[in-house]
Amino acid sequence: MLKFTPEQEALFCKFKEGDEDAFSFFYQLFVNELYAYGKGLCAESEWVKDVIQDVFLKIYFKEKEYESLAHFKYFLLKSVKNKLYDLYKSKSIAATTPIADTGMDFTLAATVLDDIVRSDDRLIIQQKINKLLSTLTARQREAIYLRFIQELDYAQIAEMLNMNLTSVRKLVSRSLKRLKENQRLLFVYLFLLYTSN
Amino acid sequence: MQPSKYTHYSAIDFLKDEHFLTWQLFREESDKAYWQQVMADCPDVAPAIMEAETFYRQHVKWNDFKIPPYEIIERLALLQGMIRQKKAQHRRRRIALGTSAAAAVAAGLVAGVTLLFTAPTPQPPPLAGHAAFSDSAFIESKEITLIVDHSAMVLSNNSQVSYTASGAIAVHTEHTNGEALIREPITATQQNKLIVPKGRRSSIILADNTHVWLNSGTTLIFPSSFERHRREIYVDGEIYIEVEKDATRPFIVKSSALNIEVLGTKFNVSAYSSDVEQTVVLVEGSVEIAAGLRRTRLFPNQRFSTDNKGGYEVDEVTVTDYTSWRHGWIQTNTTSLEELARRLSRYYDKEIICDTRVAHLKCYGKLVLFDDLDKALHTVSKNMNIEYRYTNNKTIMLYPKK
Repeated sequence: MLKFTPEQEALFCKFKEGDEDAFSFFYQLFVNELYAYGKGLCAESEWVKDVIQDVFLKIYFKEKEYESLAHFKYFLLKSVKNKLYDLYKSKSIAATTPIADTGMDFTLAATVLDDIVRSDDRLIIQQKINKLLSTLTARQREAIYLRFIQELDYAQIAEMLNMNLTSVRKLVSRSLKRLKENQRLLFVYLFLLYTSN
Repeated sequence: MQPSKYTHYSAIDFLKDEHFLTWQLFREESDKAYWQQVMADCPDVAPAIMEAETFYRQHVKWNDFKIPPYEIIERLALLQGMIRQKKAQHRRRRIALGTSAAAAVAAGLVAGVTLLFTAPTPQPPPLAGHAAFSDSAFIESKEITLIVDHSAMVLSNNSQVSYTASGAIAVHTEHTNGEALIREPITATQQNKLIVPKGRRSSIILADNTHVWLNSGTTLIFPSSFERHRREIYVDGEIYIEVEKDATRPFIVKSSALNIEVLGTKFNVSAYSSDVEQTVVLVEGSVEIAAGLRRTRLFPNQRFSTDNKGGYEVDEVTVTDYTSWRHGWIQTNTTSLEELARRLSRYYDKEIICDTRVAHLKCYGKLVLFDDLDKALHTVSKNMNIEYRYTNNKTIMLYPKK
């Protein structure tokens, strides 16, 4: 689960009291995670960056009634999503480009960092992971991303995806099942390939 | 399962294996069990599997989008600029309100209390934190000044200010026995500032009935009425405080170096931002002090003091040594003459220098803080067997008797 150091927890108390240094600290701590999540929802880097600025500006002047640091992070992610969605709606109406009923499609891509492995191996690994991910729906990808990368709990994910708790649990486990089925198909395919030779 | 399939697998081969990747991606228990079985069956490939795991954890990223570090710094600076701008807008709006309020208060002066008003100041109201202490224009003032929403009022020495639960302000002075209701607050949570210059003392009753005595050279920042869940004040200087009990709202005293949290208790804080040492002496109850990232709990008759290396110590003391100033006398048991001189210096706003030959002398007893420094110095020199002389109008020298 999401864990923070005692120093971060101590700074969080200061942040809640309105300390400006602590505010800057948490901006720098979370900005890239928010950016990565926002980029999953929307390809426009500048939109995502502007939305993050907006969220932090608002937070500075608001009562900071967060239960915990983990709750604060969840609040940030949720605010970024809501604001991006508003922006998306306003822009698409202006440009009369339709958007899906479900809102923004979450994209998820794996990157293998380039030290150590040879570049062809690296690409194969990357492709394999991305192929596994492509079998999931946008909502499943988002649920899985929020669960495993941002480490939100199921209740928070349910809030963010506007679903109930059991549906989210199902969504995550069903997506896993789907991945496995996919794998089995692949095994069968490979098996056939080998035996036919 | 065909463990034999993995016999010649290297770490890279595992990283290309779909089943292995699924396990790494989703960390499911059933997959974990499968791979533990593989490692048990083929101990030879276990190192390769572990290597692949480490590689995955360190090198595979999902949605690995990052803002370059220099751009983060730029954006943070931009954000801070926007915050300042927004604060300034708030301020302009509040100044407009403050001016009319000052006029309204001026009309209420018929009550006969000697209060003087200065023009509304361009200084921002202290929202939080220590930056708020730097209103040098007021600290330079020779009189006790109460700043409420940009209008400043000058109070006579030893005057007592009190706030009602609704945030209305009343001032009592030595000249009047009655109360003068000064004004109603504009906003309930607005910050006020009471500045007591060197050579002056004052006391104040806050909205929650907490009583604070301010020693000379002290600035206190406090709201007209407290928030629902916490009570918070800021101090630069020395206060003795009797906190009204309220288990639902912790009371927090902040200084440039300390955060003191209490529920209901009596204690003295000496926290001049210009002094290296900041001390807290507890009379009654218990307090929790945070200095930097460290926290410590204090019990009655204990003194907490910071040092210049960022550490602190706690020792047992005679509390009246630290609290008697509010009654108009200094009680000392173990104080050095140098420390006594420092306290007198602050109290009377004169520089008092100790000759090194007498600085370490220990003082015992009670020294009444008369209106006039000469009387106090006379008492000290007689009892300590020393002499004093003015080197100029502002500086006094203490030296051994010839």
